[in-house]
Amino acid sequence: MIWRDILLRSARTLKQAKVRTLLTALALAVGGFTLTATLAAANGARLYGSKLVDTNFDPSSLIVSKSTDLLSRNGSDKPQPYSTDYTALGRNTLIEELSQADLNKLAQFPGVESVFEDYSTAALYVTAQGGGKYTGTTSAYDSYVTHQFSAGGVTNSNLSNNQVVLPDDYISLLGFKNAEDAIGKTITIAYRQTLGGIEEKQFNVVGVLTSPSTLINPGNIDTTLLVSSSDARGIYNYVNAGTINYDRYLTATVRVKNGTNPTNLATTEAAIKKAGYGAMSAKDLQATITQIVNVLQYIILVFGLIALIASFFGVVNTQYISVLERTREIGLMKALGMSSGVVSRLFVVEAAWIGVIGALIGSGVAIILGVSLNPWISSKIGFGSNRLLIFHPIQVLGLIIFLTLIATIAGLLPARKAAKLDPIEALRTE
Amino acid sequence: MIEARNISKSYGKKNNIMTAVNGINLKLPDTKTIAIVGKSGSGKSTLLHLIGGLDRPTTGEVIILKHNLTKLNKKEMDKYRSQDLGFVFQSFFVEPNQTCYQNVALPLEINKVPASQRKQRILNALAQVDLVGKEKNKARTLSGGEKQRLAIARAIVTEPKIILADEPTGNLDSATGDKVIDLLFNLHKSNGTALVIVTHDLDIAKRCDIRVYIKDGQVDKLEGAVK
Repeated sequence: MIWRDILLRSARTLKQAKVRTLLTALALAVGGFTLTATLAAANGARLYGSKLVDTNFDPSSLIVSKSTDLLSRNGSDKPQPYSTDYTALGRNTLIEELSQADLNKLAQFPGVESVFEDYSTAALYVTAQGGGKYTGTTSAYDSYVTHQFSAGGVTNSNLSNNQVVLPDDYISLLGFKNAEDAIGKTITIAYRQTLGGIEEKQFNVVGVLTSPSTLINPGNIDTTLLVSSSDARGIYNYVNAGTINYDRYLTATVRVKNGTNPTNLATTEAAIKKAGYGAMSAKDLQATITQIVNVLQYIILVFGLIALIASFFGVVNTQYISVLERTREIGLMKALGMSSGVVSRLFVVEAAWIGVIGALIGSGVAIILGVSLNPWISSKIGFGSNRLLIFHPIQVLGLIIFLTLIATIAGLLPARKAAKLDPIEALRTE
Repeated sequence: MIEARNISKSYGKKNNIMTAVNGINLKLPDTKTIAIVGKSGSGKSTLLHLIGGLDRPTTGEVIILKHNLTKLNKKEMDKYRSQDLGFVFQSFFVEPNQTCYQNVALPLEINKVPASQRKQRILNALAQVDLVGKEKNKARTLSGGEKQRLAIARAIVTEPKIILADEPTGNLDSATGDKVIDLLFNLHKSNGTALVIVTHDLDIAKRCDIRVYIKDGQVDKLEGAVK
C-alpha cells in the first residue's frame, strides 16, 4: 500500500468516528493551546524587555554603583562596618553611594569616555499657569537614549539650562491644549530642600515626549521631566544640601569609548567590577529580563507538557478501542494480503492525524484568540502599543510537528496490537 | 494445481489438542469449480484457510499455483493472498461506513495498483456483480445479497486465479443465495477463475466440477473431474 492510500484511508476512518476523533484531538489541543500561547507570550515579553532596555538605556554605557548589592543583590544582610558613604534606601536597607572621588576614579578606567552622575530628584510639585500642581521627578537628559517626541525636540543633542522636556501626560494636566501648545511655554518645578525650604524654578518647554509604554517608570505613569545635566545636578545638590546624600549618588552612568562594541563594553565592565563597584550594561539588564521571562516560560510550559502527557494516554486509549472495534476489519485486510507493517502504519497514521487535528485546533485557537485579544491584554498589563503575544510561524509549525510526533508515538502500541492480530481469529470475532 | 500433501492442522496445547485437519492428500486442477463439502466442524473451513494461506499446516505441505505455501515467508504469503486469491466470506466483511467504490478499492490499494488504473477496474468489477450506480452508496445501506455481491466484486477486482468462498450463501435467504451462487459460477465461466466453495449445501456442491467431502478432518470422498 502506498503512503498516499495509507494517509487517505486512515483519514477516512477517523472521519467515520468524528466525535471520538474530535474529543481525543481536543485533549491534545489543550496542550497545544497552552504551549502556543506560552511561547507567544514569552516572545512578546522578551521583545518588550528588549525594547524596554533600548528605550531606557544607552547601549554603550554601564550603570555603576558603589555597592554591588544595588545591582546584583548579592550583598550581605549582616551588619556592615561604618562608612560615610552609606545612605538609607527605604526603611531597612543601607546602601553605599558613589562620592566625587569615586566618579573621578571611574573616569580613569581604561576605555571610559565620560562619567555622569544620576541626578534623579523627586519634585515637590510641577505646575504651569492655568494648571494644577502635580508630582514629578527631574532627571538629566541623556542624548544617547532613544527619545520619541510628539512635539518640539532637542537641538544640538543636549538641553540648555532652564529647558525641559515634558512627558505628554502633563499636557492636559498643566492646562495646555496639546503638545504643540506646550512648546515655548514656561512651567514651574518646585523642590523641597531636605533640611530647608522650598524653591521654585522656571523651565521653558522645548519638547514633549510621547508616552512609550517601554519607558521605565513607577506605577506605569510617565512622570520623569528631563532637564539639562547641569540643572539636574543643581537641583540634586539643592535638595540634598547638608545631608549625607549631598554630592553622593546611588548610581552613575559610565559611557565607554566605542561601547557598542561588546568587547570594549565587557572589558571596561570587568575592570570596574574588579575594582569592587557594581556595574551593569544594557545587555546585562536585557539578559536578566530574558532569564526571568525564560523561567516563567518554562514553568508554564511544564503545565502544557503535563496536559500533553494526559492527552498522550487519551490517544493510546482511543486507538486501543479502535483496534478492538475494528478487529474484523483488520482480519479482512490481512486476509486480503495487507502486511502487518501496513496495518500498523494505518493505525500510527490515524494517531498522527489526531495529533495534527489537535495541534491545528490548539494552535489555531491560541492564534485567533491571541490576535483578537492582544490589544486588550496589552493594555491591561501596561504594554501600550506593544503586543504581549507574538506568534512566530516557525515556532507554531515546530509545535504542530511536535504534537503530531507525540500522537504518533502514542499510536505505536495500539498499532502493534493491530499488526499482531491473527487474521483467522480476527475474522471470527463477533 | 491445488495440492495438499498429507496436511494436518492441530490447535491447542499438550493435553488439549484438537485436530481439525488430519492427513489430507489432494491434487486438484486450478481451473475448475471445487466444492469442499462437510458438516459443521468437519474441518472444511480449516482446509480452505490452509489453501488460502491464512493459516499454516502443523504437518505436510500445501502447493497452490506452483507456490509451496509451507515455504513462503510472511511477505511472500501476503503477496500470494493479495495477487492470486480472492476471498468471499459468509459474513461478507464489507466495511459498512465506506462506499461500494472504496470497498472494492481496498485490494487494489493493497496491491499498489496505480490510481489511474483503479477507477476502470473498480467500475468493471461492480458491473460484473450488477452494482452499477451504487459506487457512492455506503455499504451499510445495501441488502444482504448486495453486500455479498459487493464482496465478490472486491474478490474479483484484482483478477485473481482462484476465488475462495467460505459458505457464501450462509447468511442469505435461498433465493438471494441462488443468485449469488449463479453469479460466482458465471464469473468462473466468463473469467476462467477457479472457484473453491466451502459449503454444506449439496445442491451447490452438485453444480461444481469437483466435490471433496470432508469428515472428521479427513477426505471422506472425492467426486467429479479430478484430472
